[in-house]
Amino acid sequence: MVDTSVTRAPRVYVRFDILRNGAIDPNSIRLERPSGITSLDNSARRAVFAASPLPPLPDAYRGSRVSVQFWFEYTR
Amino acid sequence: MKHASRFAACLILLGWMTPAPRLESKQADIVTGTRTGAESVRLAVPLFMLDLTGAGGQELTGAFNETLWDDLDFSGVVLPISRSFYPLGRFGRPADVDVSAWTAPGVDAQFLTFGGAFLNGNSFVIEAYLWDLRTRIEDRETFSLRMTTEATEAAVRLMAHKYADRIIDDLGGGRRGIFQTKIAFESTRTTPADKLRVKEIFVMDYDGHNQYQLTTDADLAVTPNWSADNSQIGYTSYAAGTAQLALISPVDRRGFPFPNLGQTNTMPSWSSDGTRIAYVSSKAEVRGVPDQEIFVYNTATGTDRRLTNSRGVDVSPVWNPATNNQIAFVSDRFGTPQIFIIDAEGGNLRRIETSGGEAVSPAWSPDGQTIAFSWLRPGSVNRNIYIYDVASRGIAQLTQEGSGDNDFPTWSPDGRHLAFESNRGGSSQIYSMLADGSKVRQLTQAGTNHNPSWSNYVER
Repeated sequence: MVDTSVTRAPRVYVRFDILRNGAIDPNSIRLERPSGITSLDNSARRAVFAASPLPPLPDAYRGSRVSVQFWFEYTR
Repeated sequence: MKHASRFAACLILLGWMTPAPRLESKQADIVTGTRTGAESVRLAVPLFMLDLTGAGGQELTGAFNETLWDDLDFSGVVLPISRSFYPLGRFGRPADVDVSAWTAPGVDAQFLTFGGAFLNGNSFVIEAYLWDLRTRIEDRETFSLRMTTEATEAAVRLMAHKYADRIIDDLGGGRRGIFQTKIAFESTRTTPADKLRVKEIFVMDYDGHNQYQLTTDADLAVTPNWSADNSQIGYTSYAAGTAQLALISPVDRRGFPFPNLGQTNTMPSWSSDGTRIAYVSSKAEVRGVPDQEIFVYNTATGTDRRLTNSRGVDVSPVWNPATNNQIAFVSDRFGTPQIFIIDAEGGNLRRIETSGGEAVSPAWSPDGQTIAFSWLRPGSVNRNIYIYDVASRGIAQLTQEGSGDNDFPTWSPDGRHLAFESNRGGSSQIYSMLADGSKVRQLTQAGTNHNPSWSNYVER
């Protein structure tokens, strides 16, 4: 939940790794560029936590993990 | 949870479908985010099935199915997949659903909504499911719910709108659905043959259903505009002999008292915070000559302030609803009608740069970033709807040549749709479309209909 007084905010950039089985590595989640609004930053971080697990990585992909930078744009 | 499933849908859609991981690299790196303009979510919507153990309910189930499909089809954010590709069978309960049949090529659905309906006495009940077909989590259910309403077509249509809004809550990328919103407009359908000057304000559902008459002035009632909380519609009334601003409840048709602001006053326009009404008044003078100018009336304090001061007619004020600190309006101060933007406190006047012609009927989008307007472009014989990007000053055309005159755009509160007036079918009627110009629908038929105003979000 984001402060109701917040009407606009900069993007929040979150980086995390997806493991082969689709799980998001909880130790990899970090705020790469926070918005400066704590409640929004936490909301973005929570959304990434809650999205795990995602579908497993495709078989054709041979790496052990995928690193993702995902930005959140806030709209009210 | 809501946030998470939306994010997951977003990531699956955008993350995997944009730059595919390069296979040769040891570890792929993906950069993406929300609102990157990916394609719509593919949603399968098999017909809700009536439980045949009860009697009746076929028409109501049909109305539910039709309303749900039309809403989703018009949402601009989910893509309901054509039913001709669906597996055969009835899909009323979770046990009826074989996920692989819905994710197979052809249907290729990402989400599935299905359910059953039954009559219970005078109540119509649905049990509905939304499933995420692409998750590897055991539990595919995004939500399941039961809704009950009165067994009438109007009530069932409203229930379908609420259900469609519920789906958009999860799949709409953070913007709410607009399926319970309404559109006010002017109509001549009640005009007696001997009184050509009569127009009344009408209200309809966003999809054109449930049209009803709001004013009974038996005179000109024009330029409707919704208050921020939808509790009042401001309009221009000629019932007292001269044009004055008036307020009426769209629910019980009760009028609200409003002061006579002097001379003639027209085109009320509410700020999105509900505190001020911009309007046009003839009480102004420019160098001693009466002139139509923009005023701002503060409904809390009763303060009435003049905003523009220039020879020539200034009309059609609209607020920037994202900030309420700017007003766009039409002025012919340089000869032909053009659109200007001015600070709500006055000053900082600038013109929307078009290449001549006549630019009228500004409508500011809910996010404040674009202004829709009607433009008679130089060399064109018809007016068309365009949108102007405030930041980049770019202009995009939404309605095309050969579709008659198109005017009076009004934004839906999600900023994904516009309603407008067009005479493309021979008489002036209200149409709606997506904000990219697609999915045009005619909403009115009776009499001629004009000047639509889309409501704000309905509280729930």
